[in-house]
Amino acid sequence: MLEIQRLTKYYRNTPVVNDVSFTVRPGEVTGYLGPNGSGKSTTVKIIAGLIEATTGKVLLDGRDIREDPMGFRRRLGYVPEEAILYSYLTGLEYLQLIGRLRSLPPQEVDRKANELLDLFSLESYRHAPISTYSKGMKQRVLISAALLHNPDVLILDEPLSGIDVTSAQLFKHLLAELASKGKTILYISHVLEVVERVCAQVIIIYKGRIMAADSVERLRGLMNVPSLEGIFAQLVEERDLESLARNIVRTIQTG
Amino acid sequence: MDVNFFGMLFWPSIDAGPHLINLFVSHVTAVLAAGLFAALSIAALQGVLITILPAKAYRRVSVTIQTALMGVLVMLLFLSPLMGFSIERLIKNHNPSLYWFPGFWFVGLYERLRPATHNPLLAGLGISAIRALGCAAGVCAATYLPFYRRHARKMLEAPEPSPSGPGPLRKRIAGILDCLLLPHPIESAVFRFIGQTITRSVKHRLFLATYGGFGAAVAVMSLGSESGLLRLPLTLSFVLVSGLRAAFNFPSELRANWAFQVSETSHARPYLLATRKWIVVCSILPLFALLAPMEFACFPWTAALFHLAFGIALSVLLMEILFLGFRKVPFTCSHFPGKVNLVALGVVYVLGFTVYSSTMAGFESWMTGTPSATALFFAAAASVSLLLNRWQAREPDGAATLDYEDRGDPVVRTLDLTPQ
Repeated sequence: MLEIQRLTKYYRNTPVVNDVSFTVRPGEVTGYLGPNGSGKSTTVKIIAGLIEATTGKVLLDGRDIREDPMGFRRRLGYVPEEAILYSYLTGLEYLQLIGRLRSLPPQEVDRKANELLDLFSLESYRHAPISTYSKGMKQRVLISAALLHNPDVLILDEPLSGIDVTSAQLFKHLLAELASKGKTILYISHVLEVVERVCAQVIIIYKGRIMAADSVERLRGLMNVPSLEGIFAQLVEERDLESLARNIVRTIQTG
Repeated sequence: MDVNFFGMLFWPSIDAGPHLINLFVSHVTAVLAAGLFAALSIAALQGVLITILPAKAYRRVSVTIQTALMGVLVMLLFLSPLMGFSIERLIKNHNPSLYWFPGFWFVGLYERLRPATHNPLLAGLGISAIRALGCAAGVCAATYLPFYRRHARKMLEAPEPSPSGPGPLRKRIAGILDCLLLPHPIESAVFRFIGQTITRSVKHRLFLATYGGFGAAVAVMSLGSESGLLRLPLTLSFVLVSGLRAAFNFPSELRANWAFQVSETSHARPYLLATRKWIVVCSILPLFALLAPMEFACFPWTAALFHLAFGIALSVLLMEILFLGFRKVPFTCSHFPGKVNLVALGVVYVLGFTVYSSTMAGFESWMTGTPSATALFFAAAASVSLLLNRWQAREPDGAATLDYEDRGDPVVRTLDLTPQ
């Protein structure tokens, strides 16, 4: 179980993440939602160990991850928000690099990397440099790299960004399958429809603070709205989006 | 034109006396012709290669040619003063190198345009300059202009249609290296990553070519005397190891280093060991393998073997010293070049190229007749290298402590007077 306890991160005296606490249970997909700049990616970067929190802690199975950061990283699979990869490596070389860095034996890395590239429909591009890949292809390489070492904890920051419809469908099934194998999954997304379908629990963050944390059904009941989109709009939208859209059109039409 | 602008402007006014305009025109013409020849020759070479080679072969060859040309240009830059000083002697001796080095041809052109020495040999070289310029322009016009523009973008930017990956020989070599040299998967990962980055990152390749060109210039200057031959391997290994140390500091696609940070699941030792193994296997040993034929040709085989062993041992020791404090995976850490103390760096390099190589070459000569001193040296070199290696790989806090962020020069320096 992954527990985030009173996590706070300040940038130049401004709290980007402010006293955030939640729990991600094994065997479940937990959705982490919020508008741009709400602090989602900062939270997951802290969990992944890429930046340090100002205060607060992250526990895995009751143990602070700072006590054994390497042990935590061994159990972690991470897909970052942006698909930044070594563009001069080929897809296969990248997976071989990550697999070996994770101390997997070379034969196992080669076998798994080739199989994952096949399964993610990248087999004919395995020897092509990543610089020639589309955004969706890069995203599939990232997902493969995150899964290569069979991690217990998965943090997926916008994994469907740039991915085509078929791959997105595959990914939804993959999430459900991984959860059924007992993986602890934190899933960050803007695509509310996917979150609604695959997440047992959703956490909504706005301006660095948690606005809601519960199952979609309970939130629907509590807030008396039919969809996650409605819940999201009620919690984080301060503006009337319809009138805003009308204003935009009026602006571009004004001679 | 840009590079030679100030020289063109000032030199004639210093030298000319009453014939300022005449000298200025001669100077500008000779310098422009030489610069044009260099540019057109490189363009012509590219044009010929792209015309005769298939796309795949061109891609591979052009990378090598680009790196080699960079090295050659830097080498010539350092050798130019030496050539300038020696031209009088070479002409007196009718040295054949006059006909092979284009720089001399354009000095001849200068002599033709404004006779100063009235030497017929030098003036004759001017004809070679005009012919060479015409030849480079002709080949460039016939190949580069019509074909390069049409094919280059297609060949360089389009991905290979069905890349096949590494061949069986490369796979076999990689397998052998993994088995014999890189037992830990992390060592294998870092070792491969260094090789892939060095060969595929243009920035790093050209940076190392610059060092290589400098090393080649030093090598050329060392040839000719026995003491120079003794110093040569040591100077070259110093250039090589210090060049790699500098190149490893420059990040490659820095934002992609998150993959190393998130995957750092072991203590620093295998990462640091892999870097050292790469330097030894892929740079120090190949350098001495290249020097071996020259050593065996110039010295008795026992002396040659001793020189090579001495050079390798000293290079490994030098590597351990230069890489003290380098707790990173090469190319993955941010770098602030502004904080480098250029004066201190310059002193280190000057000492390295002069004191280090000459002192060590003298030490080697002294040691040659003393077996006990030789044995003591190799034992001491091995022990110190091992100790430095162990000390470097220590874990200060019991945690992995690889660096990914360079400690930059602070904008505001505090005096730390306030008690914490």
